[in-house]
Amino acid sequence: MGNTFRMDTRSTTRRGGSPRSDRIAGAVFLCLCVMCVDVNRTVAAPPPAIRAAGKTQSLTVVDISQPLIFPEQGWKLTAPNPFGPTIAVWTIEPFRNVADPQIQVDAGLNLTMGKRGKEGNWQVLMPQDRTYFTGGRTAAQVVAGSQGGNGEAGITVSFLCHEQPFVADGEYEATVVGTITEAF
Amino acid sequence: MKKFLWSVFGVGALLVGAQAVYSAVDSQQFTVVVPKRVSIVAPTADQTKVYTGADLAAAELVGDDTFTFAPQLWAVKGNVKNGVSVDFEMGPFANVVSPFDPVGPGTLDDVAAVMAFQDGGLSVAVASNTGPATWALDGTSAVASSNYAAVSPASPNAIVSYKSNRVGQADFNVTVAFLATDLNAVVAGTYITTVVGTLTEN
Repeated sequence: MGNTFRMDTRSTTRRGGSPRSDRIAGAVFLCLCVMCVDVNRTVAAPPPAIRAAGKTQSLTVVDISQPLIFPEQGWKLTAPNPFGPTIAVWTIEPFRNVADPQIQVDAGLNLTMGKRGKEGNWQVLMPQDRTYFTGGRTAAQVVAGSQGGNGEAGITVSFLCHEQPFVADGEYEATVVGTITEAF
Repeated sequence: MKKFLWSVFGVGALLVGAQAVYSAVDSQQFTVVVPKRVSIVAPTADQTKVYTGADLAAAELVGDDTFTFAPQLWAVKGNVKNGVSVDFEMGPFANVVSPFDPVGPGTLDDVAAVMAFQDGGLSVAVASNTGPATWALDGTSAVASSNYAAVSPASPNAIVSYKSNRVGQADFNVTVAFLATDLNAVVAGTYITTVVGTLTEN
């Protein structure tokens, strides 16, 4: 029994492989790898940024039988990491009557990529979308993607009042939310 | 086995560290103002009934000589959130004589003297409607008659009212009648009345 016990002990020691010092060194190496990523981020490649160039837009409906289309609004995209696959997503929900949010009007979104930054190569992945609140589609999204680099997008918002025979009077609001995400 | 687990842990840690997601958000608000739009549109053609000798002879044989005009279609619509109210109002028929009459007899183009009155009947019904609104009678009856002899209260006009509760459009059939029990007892002349539609937002 005693011999058997010692043999098991030796066997366990061999399967454990590296001595304790090696394991510590490995863990330190992994930590350094992770830290390197963060150090690179902080020093060489700041986080991505997205900024709406325009202010709040306001229009008054003149002809309810036609969609009301806002002037194109510029958005600045900054994705400094040249190795970072980056996407930018713009989202809008239906316009809601300020006095009675239950009253809604569908919204449309169009995306174009205008000027390209010198490092940028932004591609429009989803150029247009719309809400359809009566069918349960309560958000519209357009998407652009890049391998990193700066860019300038154009977002056009539409108030699709012409699809309803009657649109209640009042003030309607909707907000375009732009999100830029870099995965590396 | 432990070595393998260490490897898996190490690779996982590296992946988690390397694939950290960085994101940023901004937003822009869009506002649309939809003005109020309410309208009421009456038919443009005046309606006329001219009694002939044959009509008068036929009137002798019946007990009620009321003449009913063809229904007239009025269009009412409004985009007011709480709907609109519409009043159709009509006074008694007035037998008018115009001393200065460049347009023609029986027209109210200048100072007219009223010779006599004859009551009129007003009936209003919803012919069709579109939009989310529900249209309902705002009162006790869709039929009303003028009462030119009314003294107290002095309300000779016939009024029928409807209201809606949301945005929408409705077409109304407005039917006018010239009330006469005995046409041969009615003072001769031209009788005129006008239906006035008034639209107000709720």
